[in-house]
Amino acid sequence: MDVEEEFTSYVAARWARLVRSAVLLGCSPAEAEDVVQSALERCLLHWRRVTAAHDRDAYVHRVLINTFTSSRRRRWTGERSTDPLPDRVVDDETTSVDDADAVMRALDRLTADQRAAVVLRYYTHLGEQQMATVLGVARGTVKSRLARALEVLAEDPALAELRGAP
Amino acid sequence: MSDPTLTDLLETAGDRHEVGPAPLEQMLRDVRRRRRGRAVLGGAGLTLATVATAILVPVLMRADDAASPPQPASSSSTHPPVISPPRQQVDLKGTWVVAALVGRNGRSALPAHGPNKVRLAFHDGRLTGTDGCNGLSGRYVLRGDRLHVRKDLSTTQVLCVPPPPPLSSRLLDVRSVTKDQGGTYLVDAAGHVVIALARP
Repeated sequence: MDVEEEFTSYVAARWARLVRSAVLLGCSPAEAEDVVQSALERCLLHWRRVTAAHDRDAYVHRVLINTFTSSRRRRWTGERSTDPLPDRVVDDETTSVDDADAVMRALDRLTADQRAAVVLRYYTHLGEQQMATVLGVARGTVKSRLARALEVLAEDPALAELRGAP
Repeated sequence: MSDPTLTDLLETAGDRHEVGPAPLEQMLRDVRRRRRGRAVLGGAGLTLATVATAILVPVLMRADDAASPPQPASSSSTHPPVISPPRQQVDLKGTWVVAALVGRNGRSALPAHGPNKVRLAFHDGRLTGTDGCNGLSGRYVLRGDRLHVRKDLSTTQVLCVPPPPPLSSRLLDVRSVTKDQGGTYLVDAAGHVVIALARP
């Protein structure tokens, strides 16, 4: 199997999951596809390094997190709306959309580092050592970020309601 | 909060987003183009070094001969002079129509209607323009063909429907200017065209 065939099968298997990871990290859906595409193109340029990596998924996620962080740095954030946005008529939302919104709002309360830790641990299912490699920090730092993130999420009333807490 | 609960909630939030098919052909094409660009640049660099060595070494050796006692030939041949390629000074001054704007996904980001409304003007380090809805202003530095748009771009804040093209964000990706067959192109670090400019 040549490089492009290997890459094609990897992308076919992981594309949707990577895009959703980027959304959970804080990208808009369109931006998420751009970020994942850029990350995968970077990986393809050095595909031998990806295949030589001890943990291929961890390597790709590291590139994804770096690409996402770079895109945040580049993005101009000086524009802020100062007036209330006009009311819009929207369709009645389903329960699942409400749940998803509550989760996204809860994630918004986390710092970027905490959010990345939560997504990598609980959505991507990486282990703490893999996360340490992906984030370029010590394993202890991963643990403390996760612990702090879970404290913040536990204080979120909408998430508490979803969990069925009193 | 127990781990399975958080995992389930993240799965629900993630699954809410419909994900389109992976743009595999585009990714493969982009990477092939980048590899070709690297190969061309590598070849050009080698040629330039060869030409520089062929032209400059004899000149430097003659100057050296006149100023100092003869040295062993090997001392000059092992350290050929390093020169930088000359940078062509590009003139950007004036008002331009944005004839093409490429989004980060590689697709056109210009609105289908009224493309001539998207404009930029460069004047002595000051950049102004409009994305067809909001005005923008900022500063730029142009050295030779290297163009750097400062990050502190400011824009007006009109809520537009449909949303305006991502002119500000793409300007920040620009690294150089290229002129080719009458066209003027703003290019990113990877050598991809970001914006095509035309005189109004």
